[in-house]
Order: sequence, then structure tokens, then C-alpha cells
Amino acid sequence: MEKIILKGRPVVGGVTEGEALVSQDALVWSHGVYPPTGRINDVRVKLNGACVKDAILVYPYGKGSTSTSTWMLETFRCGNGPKAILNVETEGLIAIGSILADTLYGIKCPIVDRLEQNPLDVITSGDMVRVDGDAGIVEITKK
Amino acid sequence: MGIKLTQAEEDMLRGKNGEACKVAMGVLLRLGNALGAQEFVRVSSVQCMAHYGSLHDAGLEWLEKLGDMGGRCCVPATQDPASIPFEDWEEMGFDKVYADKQQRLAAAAKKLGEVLTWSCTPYAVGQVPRFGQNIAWAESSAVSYANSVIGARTNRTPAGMAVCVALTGRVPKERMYLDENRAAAVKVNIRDAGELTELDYNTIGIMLGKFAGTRIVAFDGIPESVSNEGLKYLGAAAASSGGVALYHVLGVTPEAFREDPFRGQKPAEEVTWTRRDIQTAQDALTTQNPGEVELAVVGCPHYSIGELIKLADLARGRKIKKGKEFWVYTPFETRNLAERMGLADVFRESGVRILASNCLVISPFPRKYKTLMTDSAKFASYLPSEHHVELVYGSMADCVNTVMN
Repeated sequence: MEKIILKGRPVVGGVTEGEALVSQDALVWSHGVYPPTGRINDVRVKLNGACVKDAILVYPYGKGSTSTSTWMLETFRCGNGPKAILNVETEGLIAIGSILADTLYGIKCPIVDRLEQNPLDVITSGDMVRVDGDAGIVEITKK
Repeated sequence: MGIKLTQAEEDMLRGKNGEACKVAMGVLLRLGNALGAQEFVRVSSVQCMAHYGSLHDAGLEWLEKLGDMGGRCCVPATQDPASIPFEDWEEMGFDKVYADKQQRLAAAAKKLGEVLTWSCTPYAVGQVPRFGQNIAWAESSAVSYANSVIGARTNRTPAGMAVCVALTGRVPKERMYLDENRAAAVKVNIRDAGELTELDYNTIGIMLGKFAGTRIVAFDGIPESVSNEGLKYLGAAAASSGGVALYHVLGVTPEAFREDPFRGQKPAEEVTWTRRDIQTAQDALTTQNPGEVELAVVGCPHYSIGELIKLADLARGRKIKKGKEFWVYTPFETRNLAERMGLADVFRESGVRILASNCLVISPFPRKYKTLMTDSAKFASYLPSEHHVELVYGSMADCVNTVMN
């Protein structure tokens, strides 16, 4: 099986592994992800209806309201957050959601961005991805 | 590498200022390091978030925890509007369980020592930063207004993080706090548009957000007579359709008043918008199949006292049609002013309801509505998807004429 290793910027630490869920569209967490189920609930997004729970969630960047962070935090509180997040560019809005989940609930969600290749081109939903948020290294096993 | 701390900041991190301040500083340090900041900046004003519609139970637990640890704001810290109208929720039929959560958030904000304005327009209720001053505001339209119209400096401070800034008075120095990140990159010319109304500024804001994304735009062709409300709407709409935290207007806004916002560089892209473009964007803000308007909603961002005067002038001597409603959102303080000025009497007589320090974008509806009308492009871009309603977009006068006799 083809393996690809990409280096990026470590944003939030932690190491995890899981199945990729890739959104080519920017994701809006506020009103765009339903915390009690973890399902994407946004007709403007192609991935509408998909579940972020336990996924390695890959999307370009965040969009919309500054309350993104507390919508994320609530999704983590409900146990429906992703295992890790890979962005083209991570804004503070996204990073703080993960940092607060760790601070309040001890939930780790490593984040890596600015990978040497665009993760939206390299990673497909269903690929197995290992994320090392401490070193900023992403290992992709194509499905 | 990483943030270099001052002595005072190290003390906070060691818990010298209490447990809550220590936890808050720890969160900010992790975030600052993640974002590659080199140092913190001190801020003079914070706008937090404490509305249940976005904070949920997790945000409530966060604020209560910081309060239980003895946290106190060390700079004036307001918060965005609440998810219920505090005074009328029961009479209007809001859910009690939901209202209780919002009341708990209010109690938590009070315990933390927040300034309880509950408004998306803190600049209209006594929080006015000066040009160049570092602040940390949260609500996107307030951020845009502070950066663009006042020339103060703030990022779009995330909910949950802003309270950490309020407890420490510190925020990672990155993006909008750095002078080099405030230059304009692209130019928008407004040409052949005739007189620009407040509705037009709303519409131009939507166009701006879609065009710019997060790039910084400088406008040419917006007259110096533009009202503060016009710029308020422009920024609010742009932040709802894109990630705009700062825009410049040549000859109008402070960083483009005398100085060149492009700082000698050529714009990376330049476009021209005419009346026809504005009209097309305006038409697109009314949803596909609006029915008969049942409810007109105005005051997003919160109506200023000037707008309440205009609305009272339009509503005086008229009455809401049977089966229709008119709601206006404004801060407590502005409502009090309207009460003192007799404007509130006009509203009561004509059937206009003031919802003080509340906001429909972040509130549930007390009952079902099918078709709304608004003069706010931000309402128009959020309400159809968030409340599953049809929406008609028109001016304040159009709203009055539609639901009043």
C-alpha cells in the first residue's frame, strides 16, 4: 500500500491515527456541525450529513463566526469530536477549540497545518492517516 | 522560539494572580505558541461571548469553572448579545430550560466582573478604544468596526478565548496587532452607483466578503458623508459572507484618511462595482420563494439611537397590521435612552417591540414563522439557514411599509 509522509506546522500536540474525512469546502462549526451527533449540518458544504466523530478531519480553513471555538468545544464535550484536524491554514478559532477541549475535558485533538503538499490533493476520505501533532508529521496510507 | 514572557506574565503563569488567571494564561500561551507569536500585547478592552446559543453547556461550564476558581476581569470586558431577551422571554414564550442556561451564563459573567452591556456594538455603549489601541473583541461586526472605522487593533477573538484575555489583559501578538498585516491588498472602486443608502452599504458588505475572503480591501468611491451606521453594516455583512476583519475606505477610515493603505504597493487585484452590480447582489439576498411577511426584524448589528429616531419617525401614527409583528434589536442603554426621549412610547403605540440586548442570529424563535423581512444583510445571510425561514431584504422604510398600516 502506498504511503505518503508529509511534514507541516505542529499547531496542537498529540499523536493519533484514524480514517480521513476530507472536505474540499471550508467548514463552519457554528450552526454547521451539530454537537449532539457530530454530523455536518450545512447545505452549502458537499460533505453535508457526514459525521466528524473520530475522523481525521481534513479541510482547507475555517469560516464564519468567532463562536466556532465553542461549537467545537461542545462537540468534544458530547464525545463527538474528530480525532485530529489537518488544515491548509489553521486559525486561532480552530486551535483554541482543541486547546480548550484538552484544558476542560482532557480530550486530545492534535492539529497540523501548512503541510508541504496540499492535504486536499493528497488525502482522500477513507485513507488511514497517522497524525503527530508534536512533530508536525502526517503519515498517509492510501486506501 | 515561542512567546517571550514578561515578569508579570510569568507571575500569572505561576499562579501569583490566582488559579483562574493561571489557567487562562496557560491557554493563551499554548495558543500563542501554536500560532507562532513572539510576545503578548496588553489590551485595554475585551468583548467576550456569553450567549448560550453558541457557548452551549461546554462554554457555560468553562465560564463557571473560571468563576469558581476566583477569576476576575482585569480590564473592562463586555459581551455580545444574549440568546434570550432577558426582560420579555417568559411573556414571549421562550423555553424555560434554555432561558435558565442563559441566566446561568449571565450569572457567570457577572461573577467574573464583566461589564454587562450585552451588545454587538460596544462602541455605542461606552467602550470606545482610541486609534491604534490594542483591544480584543469577539463579535465579528464589532471587530470589523473597531479595526476599520476606529483604527483600533483586534483579531476576531474566539469565544472561550476572549475570557482568558479578560482575566489576564494579554493576547498573543499576531495578525491584526502587527502593523505590517494591516495594509490593503486589493482595491474595489465604487462607480456610477448614485447616492448610496444604508441598504446599499449592507449589500456592498456582502459583495466585499465574497470577493475578499480574508484579504484586506481598500474602497475608492465611498463618500466621506457615509454614516457610521453605513460602515457598521458594511463590516457586519462582510464578516458574515467572508472573513473580513479590516477594510479601508480612501479618504474616510483612519488608516486610509491621509495615508496610502497600500503603502506604495500596487493592488494585487482591482475591481469596479456599479449600481447594476449592487442591485444584482441586493436581489439575491431575498430568498427564492418568500410568502407574505409575518415579522420584520431590524437591528443587526444593534440599532443606534439615530436609527431608533428614524424608525420612530416612520412608525409614528401607524399601527402594525393584524397578524404581523415588528421587532427591533438594540442595547439596554440605547433602549433606556429611547424611553427617556419618548421614542419607546411611539413604538408601544404602533406595536413595535424592542428586544433589548438580544439577537435573533443566536436565539431560538419562541414560535414558528415562515417569512421574515429585514434591513440587515447579516440577518439575511444567517436567518434563512439557521431558522429555516424565507426572507425578504429591504430598507427600514420598506420594512415599516410592509408590516404597518
